Amino acid sequence: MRKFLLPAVVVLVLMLSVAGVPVRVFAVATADEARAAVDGAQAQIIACYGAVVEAEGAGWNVTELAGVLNEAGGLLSRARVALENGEFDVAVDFSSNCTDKLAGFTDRAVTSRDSAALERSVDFMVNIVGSVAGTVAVIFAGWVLWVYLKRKYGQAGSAV
Amino acid sequence: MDVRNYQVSFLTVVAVVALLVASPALSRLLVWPRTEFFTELWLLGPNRMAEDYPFNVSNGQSYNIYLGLGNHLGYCAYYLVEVKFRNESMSAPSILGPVENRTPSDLPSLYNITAFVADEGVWELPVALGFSYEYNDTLLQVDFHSMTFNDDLLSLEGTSTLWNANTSRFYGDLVFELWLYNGSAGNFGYHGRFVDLKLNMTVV
Repeated sequence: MRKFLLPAVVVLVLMLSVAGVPVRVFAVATADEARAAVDGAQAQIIACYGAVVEAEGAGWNVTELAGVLNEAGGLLSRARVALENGEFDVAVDFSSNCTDKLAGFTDRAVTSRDSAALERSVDFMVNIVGSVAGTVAVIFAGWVLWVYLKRKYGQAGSAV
Repeated sequence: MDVRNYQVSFLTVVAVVALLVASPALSRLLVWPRTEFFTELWLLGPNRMAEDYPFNVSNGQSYNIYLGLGNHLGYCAYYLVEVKFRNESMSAPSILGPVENRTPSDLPSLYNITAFVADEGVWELPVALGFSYEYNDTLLQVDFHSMTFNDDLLSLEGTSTLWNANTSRFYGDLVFELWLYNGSAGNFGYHGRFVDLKLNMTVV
């Protein structure tokens, strides 16, 4: 019977791994670890905020991005409370959730910034350059037409 | 026919067409520059109106309010609202003088609320709060244990308030101070604004 025990355990572990069943390892975070996790989450929020400000400066509507930051900020606030209450595991969990929430955020903000810069460039070409050029063209065409009409019909009674 | 008789009409037509074509550019160039940059901070009652604010607060009961921000700073702002609780003798934020010279309360923050608000955007947070407290033996003092702030429990151990015979109440003041992140300095500075909720601890 004992000779089947080891292979059975190995098979069980392999099955759990293949099935993707999470095996939680219980660990107790220390105050320093919890503080480091909170500080890390805070630093990431500040980095993401910088990216949002850049995107907004380029003309992007950042309401949605700010919403994600608000969710992450809420988690960070709760992590801080847990840290103050000495619940270091909870603080680490909230900090991790905050960090997860911001995964890929900076890339999204940079993409938004680049899109906004492109839109602004197109908008400038169409609405400013195009409009000014069109106005000059209208005035010039009007002048040419006026000269033409004056030549053709300018002499009093020369044409009917 | 002398075409010069139609000169004014012709010029008018050309001017109108030119203005129409120029309107997209003019709409962007002829804009009044913004001159006032500020932040709104408000507190609303349970019905999201400036009325029915909690005042008589019973032990263990929950009360709802709304905290709001309006950003008119010209950029997406990163705010921090520090929640503080004080009795009559504790430090309060200053209310006199220019906003930039006002100072916050010296008390430590019980809870930090983070808010990111886009330019010209509004942010609002529903807050459910409650207090755990008891009267001491003399019945002239209330000793606080804790405060619930949405899903979090905040310790108020060591905080108490005395009976005020003049106002006939056990005074409590819940203060929300507004701080603003300064990107160039890399830290938060007091934004000179706060709202508060004055409370009376009642018997239950």
